[in-house]
Amino acid sequence: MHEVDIAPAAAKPAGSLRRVVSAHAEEFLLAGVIVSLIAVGGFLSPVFLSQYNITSVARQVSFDVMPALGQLLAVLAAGIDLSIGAVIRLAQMVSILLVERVPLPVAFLLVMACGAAVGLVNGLLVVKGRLEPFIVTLGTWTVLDGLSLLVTGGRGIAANVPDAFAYLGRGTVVGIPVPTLIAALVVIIMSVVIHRSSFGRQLFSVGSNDLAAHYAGIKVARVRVTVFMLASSLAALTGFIMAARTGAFQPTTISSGGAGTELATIAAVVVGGARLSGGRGTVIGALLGATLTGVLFSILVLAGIDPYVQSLILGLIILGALLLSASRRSKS
Amino acid sequence: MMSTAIELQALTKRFGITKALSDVSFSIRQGSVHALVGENGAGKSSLIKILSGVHQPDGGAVRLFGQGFAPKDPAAAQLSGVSTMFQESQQVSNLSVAENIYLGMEPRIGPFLDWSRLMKQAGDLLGRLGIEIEPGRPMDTLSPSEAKLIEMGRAVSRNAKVLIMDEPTANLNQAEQQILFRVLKQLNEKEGVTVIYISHHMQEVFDLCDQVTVLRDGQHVVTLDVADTETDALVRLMIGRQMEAYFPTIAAPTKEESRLVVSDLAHPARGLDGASFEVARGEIFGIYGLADSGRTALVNALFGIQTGFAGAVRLDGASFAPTSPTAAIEAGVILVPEDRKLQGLMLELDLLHNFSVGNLGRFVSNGLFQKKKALEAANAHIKRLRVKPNNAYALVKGLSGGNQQKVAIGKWLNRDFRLAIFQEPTRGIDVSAKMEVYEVIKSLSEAGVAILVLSSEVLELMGLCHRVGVLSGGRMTATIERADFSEHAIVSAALPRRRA
Repeated sequence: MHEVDIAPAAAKPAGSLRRVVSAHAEEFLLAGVIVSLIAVGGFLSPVFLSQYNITSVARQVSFDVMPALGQLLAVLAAGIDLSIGAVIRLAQMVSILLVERVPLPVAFLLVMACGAAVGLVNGLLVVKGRLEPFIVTLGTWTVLDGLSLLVTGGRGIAANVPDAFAYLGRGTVVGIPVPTLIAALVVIIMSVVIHRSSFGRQLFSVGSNDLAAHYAGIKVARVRVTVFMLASSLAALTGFIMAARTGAFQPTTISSGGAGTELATIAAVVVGGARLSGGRGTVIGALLGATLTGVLFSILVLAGIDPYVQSLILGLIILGALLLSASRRSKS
Repeated sequence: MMSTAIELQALTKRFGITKALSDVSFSIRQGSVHALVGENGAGKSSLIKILSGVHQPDGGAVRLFGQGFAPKDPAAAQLSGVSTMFQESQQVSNLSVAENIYLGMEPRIGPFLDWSRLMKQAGDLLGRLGIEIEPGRPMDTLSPSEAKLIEMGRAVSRNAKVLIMDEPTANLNQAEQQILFRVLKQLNEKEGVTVIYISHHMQEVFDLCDQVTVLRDGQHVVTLDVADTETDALVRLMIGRQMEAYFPTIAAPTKEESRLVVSDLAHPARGLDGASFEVARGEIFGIYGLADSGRTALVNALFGIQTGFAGAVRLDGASFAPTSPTAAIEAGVILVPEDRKLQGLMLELDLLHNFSVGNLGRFVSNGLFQKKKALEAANAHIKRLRVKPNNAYALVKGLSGGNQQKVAIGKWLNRDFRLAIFQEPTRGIDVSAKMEVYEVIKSLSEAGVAILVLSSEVLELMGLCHRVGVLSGGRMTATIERADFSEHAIVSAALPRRRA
């Protein structure tokens, strides 16, 4: 029986500054780690801080950030979306198949519709079928990857991408890669959706206590379905831009198990301070978490470390972040 | 000669900077039932956690039958003869009753469980205590009240000399409470177990206990013989200030119109068998009923938690059959649910969020959530309801039960409504929070809201309500006017009727 007795400091600016700092201690810590990693990278290899490498890392990180924000939505609603990687691959394939056949905006809309449809199925299975998100999205993951293998026959496919499409993946604006600009736009929109909108409030309510949310009049099922649709749509967007960058789709990434996107997104949100049991997490945290893993991997590549070790390190990062958040919780 | 079971000597316990107990000294007579009362935060929990070995004191000492007693963990406390029944059950649900009683000390033949001897021992023990539960029943088929009785049996099986009971009646109805009291008497008088009894219910203190100790703000206020005191005096000692009356003065409602008219509401599978009643504008209508009386189904029907009920409900003249809580809320009905942690609050989120969630629409403009507006509203509620801490950014899980209940109620004060349903509005909260909850209910009544209060505390209903309806077997078996209130009338109407 220990009542927390906090001084009435809510309205004072000094108190609110301290509150901001203490409420975002994790984010500040993460930013510090990222800066030190960049310093270490620069120290290890002069190439690391070259403009070419910075651009390339920024582009790569963009492809991690967008699906991580989708995962953040799922995790905030006390769920998880394991099908994000498979949706990205599906979207890549569909983009490559469509881009020579239909006008670019049509291809884009169709790819996004695919993503939204997968999310709708995930959401309905969770809500109407009363199934665990983990199991449902594990199922859709397998189904979608099977579908991609079936359609391509397991062979790589490529397209002569139109210039406008290629620009989305390869172009730059005043030196900044277009995918990075798109990711930045997504980050801004998602910040507003998650932290400033009414939907965001409902999202946190559902993730924190879905029964209490239901009793407070929140349409819990609708929130859940929307979350899965948004998560899959972000994955589809990522796949579309990745296809624009590579102009090809290689289904062998599926069978070789080299994908790991699902885990990378989970790593990003967990490292970013989100709690897998729902109701806690921030866009800025997920952004920093995805950036951290992205920067780390690019250093590993530059340092010539075996790519197979990367998967091992990713796993260790997830476990480490989970341990850290568990110890924080027991302290509070 | 009366010997002492437990003697506390200047017991002190700190949590960070908070002093949960400071210099608490008193003693407990052997063979007595000793009540421990105080508001939430008074130090009752800290005290029993020290006695049960969960926490260790920072200063002072405990003597048990004259010996030094400093258990380093709950197992050590049990070994010394001090057993504790915490509010949450501590049992292994997929084992049998007998196995739970003798867990860790089952009779064995070599490495194997001696099943028949286990059953016999358990049966004998339960019989001796007057507990009518088959020893072979799986634990998870027991009701919460039966599980409590098994915990009492377990304490006896471990030769407990002292049994600490932390609000044992918290979730029990009247009939279940009576059984528990009977077993308690058996335990105390026949088995000679000294009982430390923590309760918020003054009635229990006077009915069951020999002595009472009042704690306030971590300090020992007084230890009295129950025969030498009375409810008002005790409550005054607990809250440390003069209290005019426990319940607010309730003006009679203007009985001009019925806001809620329920006619023949029925769903036999859920225990409702044609309940009918009316609640007028501004009326506080109490509903009393045992666990299987249909009271839960009634709430579920009125708040849209379940659908498919027969019969009719009219709200301000219009037909009302909500298909979801959302629909009920939009029609002007709010519910303060029975289990605030599970159904009423987002514990991991802050006060600001919890207050705003009852009417998000009010704080949204241009599609964006206006945090500033929500903060102003939250601060107003904190002030009006005297919520501690008065910080809109504090997480709800850190609040005491009474303050949490104020938040569960406060989230609805952002909207207008016609019918308010309170389920067990003061369960497990301290006296001053109770009074504040009653004040809120009163002011809603004065504003013309029709109010339903479902409570298993008869005295609460009698103090608070204009009329009380008694639900039994899914029907309203009696409707009693305030002038005719008596505990006997209410409780006897609630007992199940014999079927012809």
